[in-house]
Amino acid sequence: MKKIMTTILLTLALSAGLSAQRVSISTNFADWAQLGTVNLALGVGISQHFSFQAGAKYNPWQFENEKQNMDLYIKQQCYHAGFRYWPWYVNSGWWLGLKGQYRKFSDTGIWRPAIEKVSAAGAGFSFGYDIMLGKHFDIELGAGVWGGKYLDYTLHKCKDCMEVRESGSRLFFGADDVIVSLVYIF
Amino acid sequence: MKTRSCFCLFQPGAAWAALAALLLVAGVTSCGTQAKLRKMQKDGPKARLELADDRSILDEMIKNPAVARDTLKIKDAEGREFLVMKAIRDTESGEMVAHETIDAAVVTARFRNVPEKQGKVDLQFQVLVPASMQDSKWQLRFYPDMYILDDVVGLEPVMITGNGYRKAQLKGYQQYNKFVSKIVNDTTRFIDLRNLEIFLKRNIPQVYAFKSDSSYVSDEQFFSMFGVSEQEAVDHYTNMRAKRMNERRRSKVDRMYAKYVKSPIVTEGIRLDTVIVTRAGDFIYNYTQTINTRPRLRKVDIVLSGDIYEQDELIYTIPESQPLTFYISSVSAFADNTERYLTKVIERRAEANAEYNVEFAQNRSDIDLKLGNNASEIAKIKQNLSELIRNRTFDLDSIVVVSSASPEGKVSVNQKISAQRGTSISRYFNDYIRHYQDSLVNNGALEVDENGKLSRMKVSNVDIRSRSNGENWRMLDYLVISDPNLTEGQKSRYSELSTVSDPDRREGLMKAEKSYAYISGKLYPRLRSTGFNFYLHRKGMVKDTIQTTVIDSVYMAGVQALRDMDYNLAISCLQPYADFNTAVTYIALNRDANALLILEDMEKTAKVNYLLAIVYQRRGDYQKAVECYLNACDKDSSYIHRGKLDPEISALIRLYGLHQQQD
Repeated sequence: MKKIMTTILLTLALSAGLSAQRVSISTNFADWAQLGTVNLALGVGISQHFSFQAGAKYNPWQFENEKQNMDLYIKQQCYHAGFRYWPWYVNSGWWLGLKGQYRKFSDTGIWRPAIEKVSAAGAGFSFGYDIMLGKHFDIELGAGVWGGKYLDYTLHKCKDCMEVRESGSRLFFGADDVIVSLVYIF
Repeated sequence: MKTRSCFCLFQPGAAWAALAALLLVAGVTSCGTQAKLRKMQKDGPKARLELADDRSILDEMIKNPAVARDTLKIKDAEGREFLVMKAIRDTESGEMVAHETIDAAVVTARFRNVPEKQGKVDLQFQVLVPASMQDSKWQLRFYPDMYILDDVVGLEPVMITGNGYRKAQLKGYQQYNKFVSKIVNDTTRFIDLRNLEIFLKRNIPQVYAFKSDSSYVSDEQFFSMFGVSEQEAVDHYTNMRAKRMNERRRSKVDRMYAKYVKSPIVTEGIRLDTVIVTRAGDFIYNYTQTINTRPRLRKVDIVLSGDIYEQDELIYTIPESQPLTFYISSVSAFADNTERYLTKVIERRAEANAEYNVEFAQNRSDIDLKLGNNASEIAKIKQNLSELIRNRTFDLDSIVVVSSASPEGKVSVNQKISAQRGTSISRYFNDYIRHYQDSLVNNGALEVDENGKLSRMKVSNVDIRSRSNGENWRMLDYLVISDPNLTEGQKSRYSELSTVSDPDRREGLMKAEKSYAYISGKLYPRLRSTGFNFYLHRKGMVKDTIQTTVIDSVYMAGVQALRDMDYNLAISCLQPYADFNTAVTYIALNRDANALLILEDMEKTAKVNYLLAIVYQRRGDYQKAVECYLNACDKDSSYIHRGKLDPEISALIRLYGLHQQQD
């Protein structure tokens, strides 16, 4: 985790220094919709067709749910970094992305009482489209999948019980996230 | 072995061929029009050319309220009067009864006489298309052709379009227009301008800076930081596919026109394109064509041919119709071609002068042969006179004897003396001339007269007159100035003295001069001379102007121009002559008043009467016109037929029923 953090910070520092390149930050509203996950991503265009993306998500919030007598939360920490390929030009039009991601989250089930605690790492593939709004703003739409390995996975049956339904580590593959972001390009 | 029995309607092979042929024909012509075509092929086409009844001048005449149509009082060449009226023979009584209406003529002839006016001829005919030839799906195209001398000139065609045909034409245009409307001419339509602009602003901002800074013009290309040029950006944001499609459409325009508009609607170069909406019967079109005449052009043939089109395909060619012939008649045919020669004015009179010194004794006026040189001088005079009398070219008219005196003595005396002397000389020589002439006649002298014939000499009276010049100072002045023997001083002195006005005083002063002796001795005698002025005329000339044998080329050029119907040139040449040909030219130019002036004064031959008839008719004087025309016909019956060629006369014939018995 520390390693990842430092990598990201380094990248940020680097990108601050690379002022000639196209630097952008974005924030994903779809993530915000997931019970207010704070997220930020940074992009640096390094050539006409490639950009470097890195970002982080953080959700510490917990919501009370009286009915189920269970709190509602999707707590997570997520760090990712990757590259995007833009067929036309960075920050405009279609893109394909490849990234590495580490995610640690715990959430309550929405449909049935359960508590999931996961820490996973893997690689993801995404694609999307950037709609240019103006000189500095884009709307980014995308979707991604990722797969990798659950480093540590525990599924509790209920909130307080420690009964474990499943645990262990295994490989997984699934949907990653939906991106509906606002991008600000410097 | 299997045998197949089937109920086959169509045997393979021949049946298919028949079907194909049927479809082929049916593809172009539908069933309804096929029957029509077949009927036309069988009966033959009925479209033709016709002549309409030409009532233009007649109608104008009838409008004239001064026309009393029933009877005219005519006086013929012998002065007898008779009445002219339009009459027909009453079938019951057998008598001629006045007939007031003018029938419409049924024109069945295939020819017409047309008059030429101002170098142009109006050809009028009708194109007649029967109802059986018309069809909503057809377009009939008629081509009248004109045969002039050796040329065939195609006149403007007449088109009759069926309603269905026209609708198909319009539909084709509609389809074409729809296609054309799809073509985008604004190339920026294919560019995603919004995104392009944002992209440029973001990535190639120099472009915008440059664009708004007008003080700096440059062809520099701008690149984004990653090396993307403006042009690449534009190309990326252009909808290439749509653009290519548009270009392809644009290139196909002509082909599409040919495909959709199979039968374009022609507006140029045709006389008429009329759309028949309802089948109203025969279609008659009055076709008028004005052509310029040429010399030697006597007739024009017009022939009609045509085509029938269905869906812009030729389905039937109408064969040539029977021709119509127009015979061109012109007033210029009346031109008189006799040659005209130039006239020259020859001096009738000639003069000859001679001067002789006949001396007279002082204060005497009788002729003394023994005095001085008189004998020889008088002999010389006699010889001169006899020569003149005998002269073959000239005849003596008269002789004027001018006698003068020298300044000696008083002026008045000198005047009287010189007059007497002149009289005596003239009397003397008058006798001489008479005697000489008598002797010539008696001796049978012959002379050649004006016609080149030898004849007896005629004696004409020679008139001798005398005139007195008085003191001949002028001659003295001349003699003094030109005399080599006088000095300059003497000459100048003389000139001084000559300014004295009174001659007697002058003489007195001169007597005082030293030079007087010389002057009076040498110069004075010369002043006492007698001048003979002979006035002659050329033998045989009664008039002053004679005809030469040189042809008057201006006049002949005018006549040639008149025959060639170049009337403006003709009138410029012929106007000063004011003769028959000038009158003909005026008539051709419609300047009737001028023509009338000339013709009225001329001798009334048949030709002149005929032209007068035309002029009177044009001026509305129908009574005189008929009179002149009938007189012309009396003198020369060929004008009865000529009358039909000129519209003015033929209108008179029709209106008053002239020459009906001869028809």
